[in-house]
Amino acid sequence: MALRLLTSRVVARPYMPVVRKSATWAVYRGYATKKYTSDHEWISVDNGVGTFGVTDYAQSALGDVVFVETPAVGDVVAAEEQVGAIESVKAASDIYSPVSGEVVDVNEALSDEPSLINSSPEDEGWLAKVKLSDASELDGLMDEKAYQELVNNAEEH
Amino acid sequence: MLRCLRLTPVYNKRLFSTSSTAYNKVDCYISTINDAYSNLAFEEYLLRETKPERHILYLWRNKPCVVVGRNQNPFQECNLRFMNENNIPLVRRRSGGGAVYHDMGNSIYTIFMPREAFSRRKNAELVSRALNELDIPSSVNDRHDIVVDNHKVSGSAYKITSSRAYHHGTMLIDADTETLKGCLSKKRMNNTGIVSKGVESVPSPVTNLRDYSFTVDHQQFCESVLAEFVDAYNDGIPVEPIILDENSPLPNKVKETRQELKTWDWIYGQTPEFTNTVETELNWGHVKAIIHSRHGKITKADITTNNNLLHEPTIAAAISVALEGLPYSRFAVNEAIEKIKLEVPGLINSDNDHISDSINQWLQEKL
Repeated sequence: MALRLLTSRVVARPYMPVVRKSATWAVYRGYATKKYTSDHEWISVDNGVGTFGVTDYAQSALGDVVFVETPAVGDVVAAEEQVGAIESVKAASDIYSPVSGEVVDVNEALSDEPSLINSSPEDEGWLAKVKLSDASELDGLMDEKAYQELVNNAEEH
Repeated sequence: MLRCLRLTPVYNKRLFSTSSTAYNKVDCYISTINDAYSNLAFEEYLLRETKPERHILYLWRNKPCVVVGRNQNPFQECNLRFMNENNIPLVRRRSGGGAVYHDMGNSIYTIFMPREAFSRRKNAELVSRALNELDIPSSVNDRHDIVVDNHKVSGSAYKITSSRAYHHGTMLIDADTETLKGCLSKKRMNNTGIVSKGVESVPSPVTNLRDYSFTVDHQQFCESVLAEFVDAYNDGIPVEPIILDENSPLPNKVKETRQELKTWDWIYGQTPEFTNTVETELNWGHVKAIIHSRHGKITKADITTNNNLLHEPTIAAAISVALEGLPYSRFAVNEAIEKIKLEVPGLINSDNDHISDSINQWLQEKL
């Protein structure tokens, strides 16, 4: 399982670095555009399209996911608007879009394997991709450090 | 002094001045409107439109209906034919979980809390304590159900938003268990061919509180839960419940939600993808039907037969095509046949309508 994740990460990176120096720089750039919301969602932006999902903290609080309702391709969404829901053994939880824009892709794998949200929340368990209508919205979101702090201060359910 | 007052929490006694309500941290609403759609709509309103930090208790009950969870397949979970014959409407709630039967012998409690305070166990135990106060030996099991003697008396479901969460649960006081079984018992349904992506109910043997107490009723249940609720969240200070009745003016948002809850799109259209596979021997051949459905509509149907003559496979194929796009229901084949008669007149005629009729009759039982 870890090997599968590893190979998928390696394949997914389009800018395979040739020179070591630029490799580390490219890696840094790849992770620098991952942002977080206070609702425990992450968004990773590439070329104006943001892929988002729920964080590892969220999936652990949710418990085993049994069903995922995603938005539909073509939906126009606003930041903080409810765009779907995740039902777990614990509860049905609303999902909010971190940014405004148009939904251009939805993770179909979740309809057969909702547990991807538990096993790989920040990678294979991605929920949807949104074409950003206003990239400045990202400035209002937390970076990794700020999000970590939020998680550390949060209480256990 | 306040503690003595708490022992007789009859809610029409104004023993505390209205100024104390300003210091209450909690609210209580009791609905005497027994319409499931209105009650659920009001519940949604309380979730989204009230202050997140308030703990709120909402007590209600419904006239007979079956309520399924947000992501369930009602074709798999309920006996829709039985419900139809007995005028029991189907309702889909916003929270997750399984299918339940409601009637006036079933009381429902909803406890709203800030998201950070969400806990499945805490409020189940609160309600269980309320039952203990009524001399009922209840406890909370591993699935967070309230049980008496290992029989489930209450089922719970939960919903979480960014700022708020609720826990709602049923309480079987004196419900009609025969009708309950008629609606929900899988043994009485013949839908084993359904494979669904939705959430399945976990069946449990249930019992009424009436089996443990001659006197318990909705009023006593409400009073006892309210007493435990104010103990837990309002430092024991009693609150005056706000009563909602047929004459209460409902906010527009409530009316909008109620309307939405009644739409086909929500009740049936929200159904996750599923496939129903059935086969049988009809007098003209062996027939197999595989029906795919998404969002409550038939996306693809495959009716095939081993009969290689002219009429039989033709009719089977025609019905298969006509079914596409129709809402999934036991009347779907009927509708398909009407569609064929309209669009391809003469295809179904007196020579072969026995074939379409037999397929129709067979699938009416199965879908």
